[in-house]
Amino acid sequence: MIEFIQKLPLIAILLPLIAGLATILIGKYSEKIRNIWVSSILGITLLVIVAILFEVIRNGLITYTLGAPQTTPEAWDVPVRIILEVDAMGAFIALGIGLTTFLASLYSWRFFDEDRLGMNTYYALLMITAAGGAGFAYTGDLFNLFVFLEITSISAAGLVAFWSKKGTPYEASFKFLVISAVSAMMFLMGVGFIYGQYNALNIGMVAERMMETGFGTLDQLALGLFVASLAMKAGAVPMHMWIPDAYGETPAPISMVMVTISQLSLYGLFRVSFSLYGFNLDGVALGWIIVILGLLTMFIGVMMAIIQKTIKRLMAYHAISQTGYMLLGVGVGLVALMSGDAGSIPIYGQQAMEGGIFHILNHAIYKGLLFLTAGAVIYKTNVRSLDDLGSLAREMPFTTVAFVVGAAAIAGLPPFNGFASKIIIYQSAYILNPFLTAVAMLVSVLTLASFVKVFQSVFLGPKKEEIEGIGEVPPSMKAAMFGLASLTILFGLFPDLVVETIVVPAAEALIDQQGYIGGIL
Amino acid sequence: MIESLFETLVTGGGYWNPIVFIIAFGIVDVITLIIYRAGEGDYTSELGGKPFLSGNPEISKENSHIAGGNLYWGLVEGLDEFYTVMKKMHTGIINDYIIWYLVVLVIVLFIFMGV
Repeated sequence: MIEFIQKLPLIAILLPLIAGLATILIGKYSEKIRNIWVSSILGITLLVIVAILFEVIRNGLITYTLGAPQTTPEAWDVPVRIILEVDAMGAFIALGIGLTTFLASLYSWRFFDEDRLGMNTYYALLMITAAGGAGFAYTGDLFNLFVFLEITSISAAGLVAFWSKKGTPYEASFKFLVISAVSAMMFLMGVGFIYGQYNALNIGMVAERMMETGFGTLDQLALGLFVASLAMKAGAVPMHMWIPDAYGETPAPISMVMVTISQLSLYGLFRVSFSLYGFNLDGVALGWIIVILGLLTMFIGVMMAIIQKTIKRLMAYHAISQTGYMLLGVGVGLVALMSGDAGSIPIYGQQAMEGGIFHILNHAIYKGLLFLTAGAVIYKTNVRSLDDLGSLAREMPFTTVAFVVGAAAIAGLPPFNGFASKIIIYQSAYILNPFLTAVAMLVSVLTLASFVKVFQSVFLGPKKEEIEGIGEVPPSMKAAMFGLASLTILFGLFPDLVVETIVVPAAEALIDQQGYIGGIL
Repeated sequence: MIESLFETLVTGGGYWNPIVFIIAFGIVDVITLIIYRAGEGDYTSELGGKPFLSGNPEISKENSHIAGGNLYWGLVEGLDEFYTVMKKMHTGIINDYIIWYLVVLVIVLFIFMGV
């Protein structure tokens, strides 16, 4: 039984990867069977990811070594091998990619009714993205972080370019590919510096050796490359400009998945900062860099959203803005952690990190919901411009309610989930510096204003002849929206349960560098 | 287990309990309804009169929808200088995206390496 549990992370990676390749063959036989196959596999993958999360929370780290016996001192003579090391933070972050890929598969059953060409490849790429995302969250190895980053990025680039008959997806995909390639190459260069310095690639092993030798120039150089590259992939300002291009042009279910792909890079940034460098570096400086990036990201994101004229570009800028909250929460936590005595963290720092991490999950849920509602609008009207839409609440009441739930959550209105995580960030950031909270609250007000604009221009207004009788979206699309709307409401109504059960263990795991090192050595 | 659903969230400087919020919201709704019901029962919408649009004739209902592009016109005009800079930054050219990356990389390296 224990051996099987240790293999669960591997199953979460291999299951969608192998099934993704099989999808192409199944799709040649029957579209209906393929759709059920894809959603079933991604549903099972999500269940495995949830099982891993609760197993890690209950019994601690899961480690699994591929192609070699379990780690022994002798095994470290050959320091290059694939090691999966899942702590509560890694298990937590995999939830987002598991949930969004599963719901994207369900939503896609009918979303491409108009043009079903290439759907086998689409589903295969979606499953490979899920596999890459799970691998990124579960690996304990720097080189494999790069590998899974590449797998996720390349498959996602294919998905961005998929809907080639609408908009300019080729250009969007090209930009995403260039950004991904540059950040991945620079990340790899950083990994090379680390490998040359420590003759190891395992994060725990490198952290241990870094503690022995001290923090050198090459480590600083590698850290700079890691931070800038992962921040660009996460969409931090001023490296955010690819996000509206990519999210805006890609099909709506993939926009939802792209949100969690960006969150994976954010996780990579946190993993490198806390588990690899941890107390070796000047964490106060890094913490303030993350805080400042967070403030810029949330403010410029929302200001640019206000002037957008197409529904998905507007939502894409909001995705950038919300990333700022996550950066702010975890940045405040890092400053607090490094300002206190070694190994201890002031209570406000711990809570800021909990707020930032809770916001990651909440954002994946409500932003996913908003992208799906935008997809529903485009599916029914074939219109993206806010100027040409209106009065859809009469025809699409379900989508309207789903949109209102998502909009209220992203604007931080109580009692939805966005409010719960934002209030933790506001109050804990206030203790570090009240200015941080003032900016964060202003951004929330502007977010609300922006979504009032969308609601007014898309769903309200006098009856339009051209949309009369278009009706609601098919049940599979409704089911995906219903799932996310339910989670938005439930996480908002019972925030303490979610925070205590999965968020606090994730925050504690991220802070506990010794625990992460001890899991492998 | 059920009790844990209704636990209060500690938020750093205070507390948050959505169930208490919903109860308070419900109480405010009831008070609002009581005030509403205390109003004149014979009111009709015709008593409200016609809207005054600076002396201009009222636009027909079908043509009165304000499109998304027109909303917050005043705010955007007021922040014209800010938006001019922002629009210049957002060129849509991939080369510029990479230049921004290099700018951030250099700044971050300067900070970490203490140059």
